[in-house]
Amino acid sequence: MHLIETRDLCYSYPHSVRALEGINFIAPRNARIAVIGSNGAGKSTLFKHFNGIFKPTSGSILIRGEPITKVNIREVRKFVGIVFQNADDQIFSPTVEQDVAFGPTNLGLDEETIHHRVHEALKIVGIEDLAGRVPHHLSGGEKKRVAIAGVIAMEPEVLVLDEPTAGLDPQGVHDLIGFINSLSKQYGMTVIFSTHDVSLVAEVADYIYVMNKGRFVAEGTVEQIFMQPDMLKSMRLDVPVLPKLLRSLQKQGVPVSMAYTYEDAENALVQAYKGKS
Amino acid sequence: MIEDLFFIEKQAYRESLMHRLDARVKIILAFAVIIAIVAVPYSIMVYTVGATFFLFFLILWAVSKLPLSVYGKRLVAIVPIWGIIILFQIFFKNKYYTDYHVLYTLPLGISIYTESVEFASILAVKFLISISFIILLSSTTKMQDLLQGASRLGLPAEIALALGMMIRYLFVFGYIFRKVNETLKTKCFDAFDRHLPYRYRLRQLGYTIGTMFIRSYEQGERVYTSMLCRGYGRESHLFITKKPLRGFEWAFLIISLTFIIAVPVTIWLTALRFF
Repeated sequence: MHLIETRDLCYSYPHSVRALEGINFIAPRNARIAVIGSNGAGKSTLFKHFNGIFKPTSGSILIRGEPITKVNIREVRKFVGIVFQNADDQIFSPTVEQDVAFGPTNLGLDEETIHHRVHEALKIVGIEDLAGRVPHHLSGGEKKRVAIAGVIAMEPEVLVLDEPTAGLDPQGVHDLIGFINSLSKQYGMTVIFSTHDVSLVAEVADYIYVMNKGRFVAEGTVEQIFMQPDMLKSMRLDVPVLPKLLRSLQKQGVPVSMAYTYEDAENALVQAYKGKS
Repeated sequence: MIEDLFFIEKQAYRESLMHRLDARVKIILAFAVIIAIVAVPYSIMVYTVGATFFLFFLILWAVSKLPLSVYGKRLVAIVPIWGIIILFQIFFKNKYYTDYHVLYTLPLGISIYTESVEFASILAVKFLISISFIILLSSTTKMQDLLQGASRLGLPAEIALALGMMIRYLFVFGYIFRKVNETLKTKCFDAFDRHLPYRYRLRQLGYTIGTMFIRSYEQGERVYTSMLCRGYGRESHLFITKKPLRGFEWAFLIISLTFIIAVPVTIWLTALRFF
């Protein structure tokens, strides 16, 4: 049984063209899944189906094998936490602590448990010292962490991040990569995220879905997807710089093996250099 | 107006004994003074009570270490609202007096009465004291602390949640407004620039206001979606922990309340008059 599964999911906005067409998506336990695609591909629309914000026009969505109903909607929203692109949409309480506590409070937890969860969530995202601050005094990166903490405090098993790197500085992106990886490794969570940043995908994802005009046009492992540069270009995307460079070197006769992450690329180049010398 | 919001916030983030005082103490204090001054009958006794309360306010303001100019600026900002109401009283008779004496007669049969002037001045004293304590409260208490204090004093959870969101998005839109203004300046647009056609300026302002409305509507939609994602429902409320008042705060509150009650009662019983 998969944590999230969609079967031929279709969705149309009222008085609008189809936003999603025949989506078949699977999120197993402890996976890191990237959904990549250009602007308007339908990534955010798809994500809003994962916790029942949107209802499919046709097809179905199953959470732990069960469809979303009025009876289990609260449980589903506790199970699948969504972090939206713009943190200002998601931080609506006067202080950081109150905002992170919003979800746990809605779950009907007692004050002590809420307090514990809030401070644990703030600790995980590394902003425990910001608990008493007001959101408008925070930087973009800090706000993003508050938004993530607000969802983590509900202890979801699936964390969905919509364009998590949008508006972050390089250090913020680096921290986010470490954070996403730790959620999966330490806490066994399934992380689903959308992005345009293909270099981020190689560092974080195990499996990739490529989306265009409301459809999945490709899916597979990092290697399988990034071996199709022409397909990615036609989707207004690109192959990350490192595999692009390695492929170029291979074409020029350098005996270097293909790699997708920084660490693997470094090893591949070192090995190629040592092999030559 | 938007900049006033940031100005008030800046004052509330200063450091002083008054700023550190629990919001509940300051809320009770402000409301106690307002109730006391409003409850004083419409007579010249109000001047004495008002002067005593104003002295009390000045002491608290001095403790807050805020410059008097802050008080002056905020008071002046409110004058157009209450000043006009008070000013108009001098032309009308009211239920508190039976005999009226004409002080001045103006054209078109309009008269200013001695009793009406007295009534307006009493009203002005009541307004001044009430507003002064509200200014003290809001200048020394952060908005989020005010909300928490009010909630701990029994403000209904639904109202607290709505007010909490209002505070949050007041600042979000404050920043959006600033950015829109900066964009207009970057494009050399000034609504008061007489070189530009009047209609054009009006239309551009209309676009700007319209854009703000649309953005706020869209923001509302997105916020509601994210609230639903985090389990928002009928029982939702802000997380506000219990916090007992410290000994000093209790002492300050009891002494202040005793003073606020004792002043009008004593003046009424002893017929003490400063004026």
